[in-house]
Amino acid sequence: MKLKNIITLIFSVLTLAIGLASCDTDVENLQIQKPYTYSDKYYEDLRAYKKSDHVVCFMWFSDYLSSHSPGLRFKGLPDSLDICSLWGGIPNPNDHPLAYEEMRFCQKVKGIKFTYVTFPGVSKDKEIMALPEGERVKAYGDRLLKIVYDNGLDGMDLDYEIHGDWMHGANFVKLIEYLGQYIGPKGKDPSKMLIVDGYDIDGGYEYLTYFISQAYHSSGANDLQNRFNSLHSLGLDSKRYIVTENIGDYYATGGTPFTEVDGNTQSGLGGRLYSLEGMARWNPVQGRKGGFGGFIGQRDYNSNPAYKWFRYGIQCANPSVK
Amino acid sequence: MNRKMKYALSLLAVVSFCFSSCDEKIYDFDSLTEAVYVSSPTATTVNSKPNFFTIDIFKTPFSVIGESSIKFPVRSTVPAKSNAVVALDVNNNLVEQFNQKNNTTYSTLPSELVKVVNSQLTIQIGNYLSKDSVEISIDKDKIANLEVKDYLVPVEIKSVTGHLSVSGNMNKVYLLIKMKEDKDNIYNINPSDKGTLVSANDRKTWSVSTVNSSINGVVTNLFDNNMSNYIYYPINSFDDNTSFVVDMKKNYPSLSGILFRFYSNSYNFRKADVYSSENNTDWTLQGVVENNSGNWEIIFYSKVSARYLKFIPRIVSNSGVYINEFNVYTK
Repeated sequence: MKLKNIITLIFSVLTLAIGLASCDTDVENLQIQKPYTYSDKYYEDLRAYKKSDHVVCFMWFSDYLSSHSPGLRFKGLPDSLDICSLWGGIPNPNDHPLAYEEMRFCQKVKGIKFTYVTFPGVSKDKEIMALPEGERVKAYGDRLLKIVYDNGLDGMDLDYEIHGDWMHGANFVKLIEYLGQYIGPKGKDPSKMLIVDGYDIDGGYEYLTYFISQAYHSSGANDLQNRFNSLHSLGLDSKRYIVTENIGDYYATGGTPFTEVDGNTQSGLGGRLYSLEGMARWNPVQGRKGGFGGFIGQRDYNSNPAYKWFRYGIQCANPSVK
Repeated sequence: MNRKMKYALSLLAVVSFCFSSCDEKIYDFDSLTEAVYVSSPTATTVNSKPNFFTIDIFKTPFSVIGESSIKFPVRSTVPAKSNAVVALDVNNNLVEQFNQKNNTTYSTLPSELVKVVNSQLTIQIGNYLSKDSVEISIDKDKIANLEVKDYLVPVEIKSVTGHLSVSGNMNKVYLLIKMKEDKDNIYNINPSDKGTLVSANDRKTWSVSTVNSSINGVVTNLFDNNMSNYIYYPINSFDDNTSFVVDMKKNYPSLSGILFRFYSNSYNFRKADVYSSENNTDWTLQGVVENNSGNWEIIFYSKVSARYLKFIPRIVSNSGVYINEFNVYTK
């Protein structure tokens, strides 16, 4: 091979290597993104979208105690997010003024709903357990409602993980029926959401705004369909069903490998299809689902662009009308 | 072209590739176009076509069957500031455009065969959704003579009153009519009225004979209405002689169908020929069934008179065949 050819070959390989290296999508801490600014019309449109009949996007958000990155702040959430469940607790104006202010901004201007999330249970609660059994559901339910209203939240998200608590099983259904008189679709104030996530409940689905399946590392559409079939037989309709991925563990890929109902395993972006996109695209055979989302969702901020998988999922589930 | 030029172009191509491979999309909320649109909100899988509905219509020896209409509302991206009247209509000019874009060869359905009901829908002030739906229906009585092929019926939003515009990307719905021919005596799409099942008491004496195959288990398990027991049906070879024959011990003059309940859809027949006979000698082919379900409901277009029913398995589950129950429908 002539020297000129060798030099050209080396140069071509180096150029290719540099080019490929420049496509590295790993998190780069020094990348600085100029904050976007939006008009009043933009926010008006955003709120109109939030009020429309669409597939909602849900996120459990757990970190707001630091302010150095929008990835740890409510203001950094995707604008088109519908519901943010406060896995990191409820911010208050004294201890977390920035988080509190941003939460209010997101509620009022962006139309994002914030929910109180808790593991429902009373067995270790001396005050509740000291009451006669017939009074415990009301006392505990009133306490939950007070938290929602005192903090100006948009509802509650009960993480129902059965472990033998007095408030579980049949008493949990009674709790839902009690809360459902006040909030949720049958309550006096349906603007406040009544959400249960976790284990299936024995009844009371008609009182829920949404039931959320922790369908973590779901293999695909068949798995999601099987999960929904059992809930549907208990009285849950498809529009109140939200499926979620543990995106906190899988934000690097957007979930775990996912297969659609037609056997497709390719993402709309090209490459392998992963579960958050798969969940956003999936619908049960019974009709349109209520929504999709993820646990520890703020870690998707580290994707490039920020919240790539949530934002793309929202587009997949609700294609833009132009 | 000299060699230097070739090198230069090669290098340029490599560099261009590197830059083009870095193209990434930013996904965020777009400002809304204040528009009316149609959407099929469940068609969001990677390979699904939005606003594309398919219905199968079968020409049978006796009639034309299958769903013959679809209904859908219209939507607005923003609450209507005044009552918005949305007009829709069939536009057959879009068939050719669709075929070119999607590399398909769908035919146009003559417009006199398509009926549009509620072609004007109103989105009332403050709402996002029309109260009524437009209905696109096909006159089944008139399509019996149509050729067996696929027909496309495009429906589009023609106009809207008030401040809203018509969406540019979600203003059409395509209805694909797949015209098929069903020449045998078995429904491809089962009717709701299948007939009445024979009681367990009346099936006590029914028996089964087999060729190139056998029954492992108590054969009466098939006829007892008890889904917790079953028989195993191993097959030695697959050919025209292999058979599973049920003797119902008397002639049933008006059979409307057959019911197989397999252990599950992992232990079933996948394809079988279905025959009937009154004397176990002269057999009439009723049809060929292909079905991956764990429940086979074989429903006849025309009632059958038979004492014997024969099944020649062509394809079965890899896990073998386990049958919990066998019955027939009568009318």
